[in-house]
Amino acid sequence: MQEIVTIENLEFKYLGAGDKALRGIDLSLERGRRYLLVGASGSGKTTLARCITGLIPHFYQGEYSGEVVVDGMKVSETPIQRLAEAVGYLRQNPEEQVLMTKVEREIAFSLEFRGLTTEEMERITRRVMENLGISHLWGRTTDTLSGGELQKVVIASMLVLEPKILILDEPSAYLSPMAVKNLQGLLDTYIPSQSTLLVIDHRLDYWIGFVDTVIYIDRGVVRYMGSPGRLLNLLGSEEHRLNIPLHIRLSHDLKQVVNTRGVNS
Amino acid sequence: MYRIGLEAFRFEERDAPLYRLDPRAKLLVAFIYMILTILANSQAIQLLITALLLATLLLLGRLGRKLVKNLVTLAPLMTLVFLANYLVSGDLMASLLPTQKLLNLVMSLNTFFLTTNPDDFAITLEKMGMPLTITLAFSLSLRFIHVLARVLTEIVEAQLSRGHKLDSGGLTTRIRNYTAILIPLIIISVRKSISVAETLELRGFREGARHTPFTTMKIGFWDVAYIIVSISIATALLIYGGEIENILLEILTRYLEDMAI
Repeated sequence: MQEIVTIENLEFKYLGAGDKALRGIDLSLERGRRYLLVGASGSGKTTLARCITGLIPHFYQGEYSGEVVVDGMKVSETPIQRLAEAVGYLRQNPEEQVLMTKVEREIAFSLEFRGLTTEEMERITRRVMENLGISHLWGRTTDTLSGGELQKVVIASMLVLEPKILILDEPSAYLSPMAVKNLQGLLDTYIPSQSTLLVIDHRLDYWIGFVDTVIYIDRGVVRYMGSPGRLLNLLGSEEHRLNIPLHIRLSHDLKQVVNTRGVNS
Repeated sequence: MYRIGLEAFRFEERDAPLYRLDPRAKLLVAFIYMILTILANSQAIQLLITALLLATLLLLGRLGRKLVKNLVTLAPLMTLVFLANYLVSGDLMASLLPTQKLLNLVMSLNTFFLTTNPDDFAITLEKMGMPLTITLAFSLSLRFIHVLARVLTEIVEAQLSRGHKLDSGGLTTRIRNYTAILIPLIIISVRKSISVAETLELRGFREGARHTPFTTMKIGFWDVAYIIVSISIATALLIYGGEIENILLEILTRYLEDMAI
């Protein structure tokens, strides 16, 4: 599989911060795969996402070393606007990412800087809205939308640029368990199979069945990257700050019992 | 109450003729009324301008309830202007004029801001040659009025639920009480502005980039009619202001005499 993101020995310390937010990160993300980045609050999840989008080092300043390459572009040498064509980044609160008053203008905003004609922009916007099942929102003002509708609009505004990697930062923060299920259904249906998905969430139980790979980050260091099932090893091997779902914990404990006492006991 | 203050100036989509007009036409007419308000130094003419603006906002904009909220929010400022002028001049009628001017200036701006989508406002400014960074700053400020209104309500509710008293004590105590609202509001506003700046970067915005607005604007028949009618009224008021004032005063005097009889 081809890699879309390669990170080598990445370290970052925010301006004025005491400790490094990221320390010696080495990882690569492959095209068409789904990743879940988990870790406790303050572990460096969002900082890592900012490094992929280019917000670090271009927007947030600090001590930056190492190398991040996204779709063949060195992040430290490429402007965010250029990287935005490859990376879509949806943050926790969709409301803070809405820039325009009208839904269709919000979705088309990124296209307004691509040298397209009004007709081309309208065609792309209509297609994406149709794909996401939000055509009926055309003409509505963004402040009248429900949370779920707003999230779809923000996703649509990223999809118009056909990003190769989509990063969702804490998407479950403002959603009910049912709304998270709906969001997963939406991602399943409408995100192109060749696109890479990186979900950042501390709710392991919501996403563990949805992703191919889990990346566990703790105090700025990647402690684990592999299949969700093998996350179990973390339980026995080291102290962790993760909210492991009950069924995984139960399964792990049962295995422990079987291993130590045998099947009959 | 805290929310009403900000909500009174927020754009809300409505199906009314004034909303359908080209923002450039509305901006021009708003400026015409503002210039007229500044130039006219007669209470009768100011009263006529108020009537015209009210007719525009109520009949063409269907903004009755919104206008009431708007005026309730402005009432303390208008009272302050009136009292300050009265204390200085001691003349009741002379103090009324600046208050009328303030009212008319606000209502003139309302014919544009209450009926124009912030996105269209940004495009209007861009078409007038303003840089995109400034037009976006304007439209984003307008868009975030309701977000800040909600944040303000949340902060007030949170502080009240903790037993914080806002409206008790003397003036200095009250001012001190309000810092508990203002400081979190400023911090949240700064945080939100950083988030918006991040979003702009991530959505491909850059200073000096070629920009093609998604919405196109076209001046139509009704826009031209709105401009011509407004200019005609303004010119008539400026040229025949004295005569109109005399006629109005005569009517008023006769009415008062009839009432006395």
